[in-house]
Amino acid sequence: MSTTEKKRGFWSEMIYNNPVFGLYLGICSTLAITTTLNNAIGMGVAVIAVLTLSNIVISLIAPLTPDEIHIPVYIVVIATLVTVVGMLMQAYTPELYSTLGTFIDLIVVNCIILGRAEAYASSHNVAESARDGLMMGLSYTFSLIAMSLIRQLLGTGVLEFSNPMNNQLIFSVRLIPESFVIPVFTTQTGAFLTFAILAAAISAIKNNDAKKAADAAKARADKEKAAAAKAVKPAKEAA
Amino acid sequence: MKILFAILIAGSLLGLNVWLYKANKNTPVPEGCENLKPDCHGCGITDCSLRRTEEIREDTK
Amino acid sequence: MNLLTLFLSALLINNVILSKFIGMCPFMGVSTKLSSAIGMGVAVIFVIFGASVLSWALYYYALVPLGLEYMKLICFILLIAAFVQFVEMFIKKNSPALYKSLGIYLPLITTNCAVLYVALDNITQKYNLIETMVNSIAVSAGFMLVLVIFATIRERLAASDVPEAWKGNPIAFVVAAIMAIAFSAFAGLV
Repeated sequence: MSTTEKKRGFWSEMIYNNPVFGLYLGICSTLAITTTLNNAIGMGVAVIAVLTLSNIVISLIAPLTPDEIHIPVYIVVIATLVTVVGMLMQAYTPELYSTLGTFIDLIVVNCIILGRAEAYASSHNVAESARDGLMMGLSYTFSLIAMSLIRQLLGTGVLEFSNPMNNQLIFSVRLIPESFVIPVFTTQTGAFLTFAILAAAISAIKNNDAKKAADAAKARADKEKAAAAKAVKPAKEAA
Repeated sequence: MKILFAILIAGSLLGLNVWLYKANKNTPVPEGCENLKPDCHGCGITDCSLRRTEEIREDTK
Repeated sequence: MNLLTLFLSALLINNVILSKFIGMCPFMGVSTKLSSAIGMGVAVIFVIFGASVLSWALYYYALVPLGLEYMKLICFILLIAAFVQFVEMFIKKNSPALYKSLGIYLPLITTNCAVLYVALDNITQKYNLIETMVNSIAVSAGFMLVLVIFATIRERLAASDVPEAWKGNPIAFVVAAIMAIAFSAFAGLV
């Protein structure tokens, strides 16, 4: 991570290094399971667990792994972790496990996990890799929550969250009257549309920042030019 | 006993993978295909062996 | 008749991309040119078919008799990775022409979630060998169908004037949303 990236705050790192809307990693599960807030948070926590643990394990074994076979070795590590996390979810949060279904198993081929393993964990120490896994997992979870908030709110008008252990409702508020909801947001079409809007928003923020930086650079150059011209003018008048 | 079989199966599959990855790497690419790259702009994995970092920056800018 | 129903529902109604959102990475990544979309599509059909049959055999002839069903995730992903490597090596050795059109997409397929999804789905749905074959061909053909349609649209899209922030992937997702509406009309087919 370069120093300029370190200077940015937590939220701007979430936007700039957002794995989902910025780098387009792990789109499958983002589109598929964000119909409710419960699913989004459950999936997010599962990915955080797998990503942090896989980053830790891979940063430990990377120096011992021959380069040409590193992919199958990483795949075994990740698949083992996903199996463990899946078994734990099946035991403690059975309802959530059955709604998320194959998408828990498909964490194995989620590009974020293998991508971070190759790009970061294989060349950094344990502490840095764990931090990176946690940060990436968190920004993935935030993307899921953003998607599910929009889709659940516009699609059903109700925001609710229940304890995944025993299915007790923790809160449930109706923010939009039933006759004004847009059910299309709970369907596949809504998933694609919400994703498109959020991805465009992220890219608009980035474009805007790039433009601001360019404008500031231009203004500085203009100022310098004007100052130089001013310095020339009095000299001319004196002459 | 069961756990032995589990280790045996996973181990043999991993061995198969190691062998195939090595063999595949040692097999030369056919003539005329050395510089062929799939035209993929899907994800932003900066370490993808198929793409260069600069190229990805262009795409996801 | 049952097999035909299975085929049509996996191909159109439960389309792997537009209804299950699986295989989004190559759907977005390899759809900017029609020729690459076709190459990728054919490679995916071949790998999904081979990997599904092999996984099915491994599950019912090795894992079930030994009571090791929980190993299926690890075994399937390793089997898929090995199969992809084997196919790539085989094509490299035997057919440069095929390598040119299909082989270069094979490295992208190991981590394609569609392959693992079909292998796991055949087990969860308790399909027999014939149904497994039909299902895997239908799912992968559905993948190729949507990929090719999408690529033709994107080739036109590249020439159109899109607002700055929507350029590239965001507008492609809007196109996908409209395609999903079109495909939802197949729901009453079977």
